[in-house]
Amino acid sequence: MFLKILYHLFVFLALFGSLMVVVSKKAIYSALFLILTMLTIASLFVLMNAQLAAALQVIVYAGAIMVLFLFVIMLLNLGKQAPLSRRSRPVRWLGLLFGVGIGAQIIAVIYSGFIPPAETTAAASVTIDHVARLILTDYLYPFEMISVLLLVAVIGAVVLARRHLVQGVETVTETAEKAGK
Amino acid sequence: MEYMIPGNLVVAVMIFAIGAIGIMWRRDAITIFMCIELMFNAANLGFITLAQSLGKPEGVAVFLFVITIAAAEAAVGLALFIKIFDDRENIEAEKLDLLKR
Repeated sequence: MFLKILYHLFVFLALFGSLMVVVSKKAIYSALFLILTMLTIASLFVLMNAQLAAALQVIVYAGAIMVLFLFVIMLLNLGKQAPLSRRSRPVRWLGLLFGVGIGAQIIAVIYSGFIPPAETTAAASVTIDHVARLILTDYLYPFEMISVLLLVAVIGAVVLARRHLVQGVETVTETAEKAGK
Repeated sequence: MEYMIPGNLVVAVMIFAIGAIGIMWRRDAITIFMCIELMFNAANLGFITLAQSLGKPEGVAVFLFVITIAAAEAAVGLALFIKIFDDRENIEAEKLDLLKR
Protein backbone atom coordinates (compact mmCIF):
# COMPACT_ATOMS: atom_id res chain seq x y z
CA MET A 1 0.00 0.00 0.00
CA PHE A 2 2.81 2.36 0.96
CA LEU A 3 4.69 1.35 -2.18
CA LYS A 4 1.63 2.06 -4.27
CA ILE A 5 1.32 5.59 -2.91
CA LEU A 6 5.04 6.12 -3.50
CA TYR A 7 4.73 4.78 -7.04
CA HIS A 8 1.90 7.17 -7.91
CA LEU A 9 3.86 10.06 -6.41
CA PHE A 10 6.87 9.25 -8.60
CA VAL A 11 4.69 8.88 -11.70
CA PHE A 12 3.14 12.28 -11.02
CA LEU A 13 6.56 13.88 -10.47
CA ALA A 14 7.98 12.35 -13.66
CA LEU A 15 5.11 13.61 -15.79
CA PHE A 16 5.11 17.02 -14.08
CA GLY A 17 8.86 17.37 -14.56
CA SER A 18 8.82 16.42 -18.22
CA LEU A 19 5.95 18.82 -18.88
CA MET A 20 7.84 21.64 -17.15
CA VAL A 21 10.94 20.92 -19.28
CA VAL A 22 8.90 21.87 -22.35
CA VAL A 23 6.95 24.75 -20.78
CA SER A 24 9.66 26.56 -18.74
CA LYS A 25 10.70 29.94 -20.10
CA LYS A 26 14.35 29.80 -19.10
CA ALA A 27 16.74 27.11 -20.28
CA ILE A 28 18.19 26.65 -16.80
CA TYR A 29 14.76 25.82 -15.33
CA SER A 30 14.24 23.30 -18.12
CA ALA A 31 17.54 21.66 -17.20
CA LEU A 32 16.66 21.50 -13.48
CA PHE A 33 13.24 19.99 -14.23
CA LEU A 34 14.96 17.49 -16.52
CA ILE A 35 17.14 16.45 -13.55
CA LEU A 36 13.94 16.02 -11.48
CA THR A 37 12.46 13.81 -14.20
CA MET A 38 15.60 11.67 -14.42
CA LEU A 39 15.75 11.20 -10.65
CA THR A 40 12.09 10.17 -10.45
CA ILE A 41 12.65 7.72 -13.31
CA ALA A 42 15.57 6.31 -11.27
CA SER A 43 13.14 5.93 -8.35
CA LEU A 44 10.77 4.01 -10.62
CA PHE A 45 13.71 1.72 -11.50
CA VAL A 46 14.32 1.09 -7.79
CA LEU A 47 10.64 0.24 -7.27
CA MET A 48 11.00 -2.32 -10.07
CA ASN A 49 14.10 -3.85 -8.41
CA ALA A 50 16.40 -2.59 -11.17
CA GLN A 51 19.13 -1.26 -8.89
CA LEU A 52 21.89 -1.28 -11.52
CA ALA A 53 19.81 0.79 -13.93
CA ALA A 54 18.85 3.20 -11.16
CA ALA A 55 22.46 3.73 -10.10
CA LEU A 56 23.57 4.29 -13.70
CA GLN A 57 20.66 6.68 -14.27
CA VAL A 58 21.65 8.80 -11.28
CA ILE A 59 25.41 8.71 -11.89
CA VAL A 60 25.59 9.00 -15.68
CA TYR A 61 22.40 10.86 -16.62
CA ALA A 62 21.54 13.08 -13.67
CA GLY A 63 25.20 13.41 -12.76
CA ALA A 64 27.47 13.58 -15.78
CA ILE A 65 25.24 14.51 -18.72
CA MET A 66 23.16 17.10 -16.89
CA VAL A 67 26.24 18.72 -15.36
CA LEU A 68 27.48 19.13 -18.94
CA PHE A 69 24.15 20.73 -19.91
CA LEU A 70 24.14 23.11 -16.93
CA PHE A 71 27.76 23.99 -17.56
CA VAL A 72 27.07 24.92 -21.18
CA ILE A 73 23.94 26.91 -20.26
CA MET A 74 25.92 28.91 -17.71
CA LEU A 75 28.90 29.29 -20.03
CA LEU A 76 26.72 30.70 -22.82
CA ASN A 77 24.75 32.81 -20.30
CA LEU A 78 21.39 31.74 -21.75
CA GLY A 79 19.41 33.60 -19.10
CA LYS A 80 16.47 35.28 -20.75
CA GLN A 81 16.53 34.31 -24.39
CA ALA A 82 14.55 31.09 -24.47
CA PRO A 83 10.98 32.03 -25.38
CA LEU A 84 8.47 29.58 -26.81
CA SER A 85 8.39 29.08 -30.52
CA ARG A 86 7.55 31.94 -32.81
CA ARG A 87 6.78 29.45 -35.55
CA SER A 88 3.60 29.77 -37.54
CA ARG A 89 0.63 28.43 -35.61
CA PRO A 90 -0.30 25.57 -37.98
CA VAL A 91 3.15 24.00 -37.53
CA ARG A 92 2.87 24.11 -33.72
CA TRP A 93 -0.59 22.59 -33.65
CA LEU A 94 0.51 19.98 -36.17
CA GLY A 95 3.35 19.13 -33.80
CA LEU A 96 0.94 18.81 -30.87
CA LEU A 97 -1.34 16.61 -32.98
CA PHE A 98 1.63 14.45 -33.99
CA GLY A 99 2.78 14.02 -30.37
CA VAL A 100 -0.65 13.15 -29.02
CA GLY A 101 -1.29 10.86 -31.97
CA ILE A 102 1.91 8.87 -31.56
CA GLY A 103 1.27 8.58 -27.81
CA ALA A 104 -2.28 7.34 -28.32
CA GLN A 105 -1.12 4.80 -30.89
CA ILE A 106 1.56 3.30 -28.64
CA ILE A 107 -0.83 3.16 -25.67
CA ALA A 108 -3.34 1.37 -27.88
CA VAL A 109 -0.64 -1.18 -28.79
CA ILE A 110 0.23 -1.70 -25.10
CA TYR A 111 -3.38 -2.49 -24.19
CA SER A 112 -4.02 -4.63 -27.27
CA GLY A 113 -2.34 -7.64 -25.63
CA PHE A 114 0.80 -7.38 -27.74
CA ILE A 115 2.99 -7.48 -24.64
CA PRO A 116 2.91 -10.84 -22.85
CA PRO A 117 1.58 -10.80 -19.29
CA ALA A 118 4.14 -10.48 -16.53
CA GLU A 119 5.43 -13.66 -14.97
CA THR A 120 5.34 -14.15 -11.23
CA THR A 121 7.50 -11.63 -9.42
CA ALA A 122 9.88 -14.31 -8.15
CA ALA A 123 11.14 -15.06 -11.66
CA ALA A 124 11.36 -11.43 -12.60
CA SER A 125 14.61 -10.32 -11.09
CA VAL A 126 17.51 -9.23 -13.27
CA THR A 127 20.66 -8.56 -11.27
CA ILE A 128 24.02 -7.05 -12.17
CA ASP A 129 25.36 -10.60 -12.40
CA HIS A 130 23.15 -11.49 -15.38
CA VAL A 131 23.82 -8.19 -17.14
CA ALA A 132 27.60 -8.45 -16.70
CA ARG A 133 27.63 -12.00 -18.08
CA LEU A 134 25.54 -10.90 -21.05
CA ILE A 135 27.55 -7.85 -22.09
CA LEU A 136 30.87 -9.70 -21.75
CA THR A 137 29.74 -12.71 -23.81
CA ASP A 138 26.89 -12.23 -26.29
CA TYR A 139 27.11 -8.44 -26.53
CA LEU A 140 30.90 -8.19 -26.35
CA TYR A 141 31.28 -6.78 -29.88
CA PRO A 142 28.64 -4.01 -29.47
CA PHE A 143 30.14 -3.26 -26.06
CA GLU A 144 33.60 -2.68 -27.55
CA MET A 145 32.15 -0.68 -30.43
CA ILE A 146 30.28 1.60 -28.04
CA SER A 147 33.54 2.23 -26.17
CA VAL A 148 35.19 3.31 -29.43
CA LEU A 149 32.16 5.51 -30.18
CA LEU A 150 32.52 7.24 -26.81
CA LEU A 151 36.24 7.83 -27.42
CA VAL A 152 35.56 9.28 -30.86
CA ALA A 153 32.84 11.54 -29.43
CA VAL A 154 35.16 12.86 -26.72
CA ILE A 155 37.93 13.62 -29.23
CA GLY A 156 35.38 15.22 -31.57
CA ALA A 157 34.00 17.41 -28.78
CA VAL A 158 37.49 18.63 -27.86
CA VAL A 159 38.33 19.40 -31.49
CA LEU A 160 35.00 21.18 -32.07
CA ALA A 161 34.86 23.29 -28.93
CA ARG A 162 38.35 24.76 -28.76
CA ARG A 163 38.35 28.52 -29.22
CA HIS A 164 40.48 30.13 -31.90
CA LEU A 165 43.58 28.15 -31.17
CA VAL A 166 44.63 28.36 -34.80
CA GLN A 167 45.42 31.84 -36.09
CA GLY A 168 43.84 32.81 -39.35
CA VAL A 169 40.91 30.38 -39.22
CA GLU A 170 37.70 32.23 -40.01
CA THR A 171 34.21 31.51 -38.69
CA VAL A 172 31.44 30.00 -40.76
CA THR A 173 29.63 33.33 -41.12
CA GLU A 174 32.76 35.07 -42.36
CA THR A 175 33.26 32.38 -44.97
CA ALA A 176 29.65 32.75 -46.10
CA GLU A 177 29.93 36.53 -46.27
CA LYS A 178 33.06 36.29 -48.39
CA ALA A 179 31.38 33.81 -50.68
CA GLY A 180 28.38 36.13 -50.99
CA LYS A 181 30.48 39.16 -52.03
CA MET B 1 4.67 -5.04 -8.93
CA GLU B 2 2.05 -6.19 -11.43
CA TYR B 3 0.30 -2.85 -11.62
CA MET B 4 3.59 -1.14 -12.45
CA ILE B 5 4.16 -2.85 -15.80
CA PRO B 6 1.40 -1.35 -17.96
CA GLY B 7 1.56 1.76 -15.80
CA ASN B 8 5.25 2.30 -16.44
CA LEU B 9 4.86 1.68 -20.16
CA VAL B 10 2.09 4.27 -20.35
CA VAL B 11 4.21 6.75 -18.38
CA ALA B 12 7.11 6.09 -20.77
CA VAL B 13 4.88 6.74 -23.78
CA MET B 14 3.57 9.95 -22.25
CA ILE B 15 7.08 11.26 -21.53
CA PHE B 16 8.11 10.31 -25.07
CA ALA B 17 5.15 12.20 -26.53
CA ILE B 18 5.88 15.25 -24.35
CA GLY B 19 9.47 15.20 -25.62
CA ALA B 20 8.34 14.92 -29.24
CA ILE B 21 5.93 17.83 -28.81
CA GLY B 22 8.67 19.86 -27.13
CA ILE B 23 11.01 19.40 -30.08
CA MET B 24 8.45 20.98 -32.39
CA TRP B 25 7.24 23.55 -29.86
CA ARG B 26 10.52 25.10 -28.73
CA ARG B 27 12.85 27.40 -30.62
CA ASP B 28 16.18 27.39 -28.83
CA ALA B 29 18.45 24.52 -29.73
CA ILE B 30 19.49 23.63 -26.18
CA THR B 31 15.89 23.03 -25.01
CA ILE B 32 15.26 20.95 -28.14
CA PHE B 33 18.31 18.93 -27.09
CA MET B 34 16.87 18.47 -23.60
CA CYS B 35 13.63 17.22 -25.14
CA ILE B 36 15.68 14.61 -27.03
CA GLU B 37 17.19 13.51 -23.71
CA LEU B 38 13.64 13.26 -22.36
CA MET B 39 12.78 10.88 -25.22
CA PHE B 40 15.90 8.80 -24.49
CA ASN B 41 14.76 8.54 -20.88
CA ALA B 42 11.29 7.41 -21.90
CA ALA B 43 12.76 4.68 -24.11
CA ASN B 44 15.01 3.58 -21.23
CA LEU B 45 12.03 3.36 -18.89
CA GLY B 46 10.27 1.11 -21.39
CA PHE B 47 13.34 -1.12 -21.81
CA ILE B 48 13.90 -1.53 -18.06
CA THR B 49 10.21 -2.17 -17.36
CA LEU B 50 10.06 -4.98 -19.91
CA ALA B 51 13.44 -6.38 -18.83
CA GLN B 52 12.29 -6.62 -15.22
CA SER B 53 8.82 -7.93 -15.96
CA LEU B 54 9.99 -10.62 -18.40
CA GLY B 55 13.17 -11.41 -16.43
CA LYS B 56 15.46 -10.80 -19.39
CA PRO B 57 18.84 -9.04 -18.86
CA GLU B 58 18.97 -7.98 -22.54
CA GLY B 59 16.85 -4.95 -21.74
CA VAL B 60 19.38 -3.70 -19.20
CA ALA B 61 22.20 -4.25 -21.73
CA VAL B 62 20.34 -2.10 -24.27
CA PHE B 63 19.82 0.49 -21.52
CA LEU B 64 23.61 0.61 -21.11
CA PHE B 65 24.11 1.18 -24.83
CA VAL B 66 21.44 3.89 -24.99
CA ILE B 67 22.96 5.75 -22.04
CA THR B 68 26.40 5.64 -23.69
CA ILE B 69 25.05 6.97 -26.99
CA ALA B 70 23.23 9.74 -25.10
CA ALA B 71 26.49 10.74 -23.41
CA ALA B 72 28.39 10.80 -26.71
CA GLU B 73 25.62 12.81 -28.37
CA ALA B 74 25.51 15.31 -25.52
CA ALA B 75 29.28 15.86 -25.68
CA VAL B 76 29.36 16.49 -29.43
CA GLY B 77 26.10 18.48 -29.52
CA LEU B 78 27.06 20.83 -26.72
CA ALA B 79 30.47 21.41 -28.30
CA LEU B 80 28.64 22.38 -31.50
CA PHE B 81 26.40 24.77 -29.54
CA ILE B 82 29.42 26.50 -28.03
CA LYS B 83 30.86 26.92 -31.52
CA ILE B 84 27.58 28.25 -32.97
CA PHE B 85 27.19 30.65 -30.04
CA ASP B 86 30.71 31.98 -30.66
CA ASP B 87 29.69 32.62 -34.23
CA ARG B 88 26.31 34.31 -33.89
CA GLU B 89 25.51 35.06 -30.22
CA ASN B 90 22.37 32.90 -30.05
CA ILE B 91 21.43 29.30 -30.67
CA GLU B 92 17.94 29.62 -32.10
CA ALA B 93 17.32 26.61 -34.27
CA GLU B 94 15.33 28.48 -36.91
CA LYS B 95 18.16 30.91 -37.63
CA LEU B 96 20.59 28.10 -38.45
CA ASP B 97 19.79 28.13 -42.16
CA LEU B 98 23.23 28.47 -43.71
CA LEU B 99 22.86 25.23 -45.64
CA LYS B 100 19.47 26.32 -47.04
CA ARG B 101 20.92 29.31 -48.90
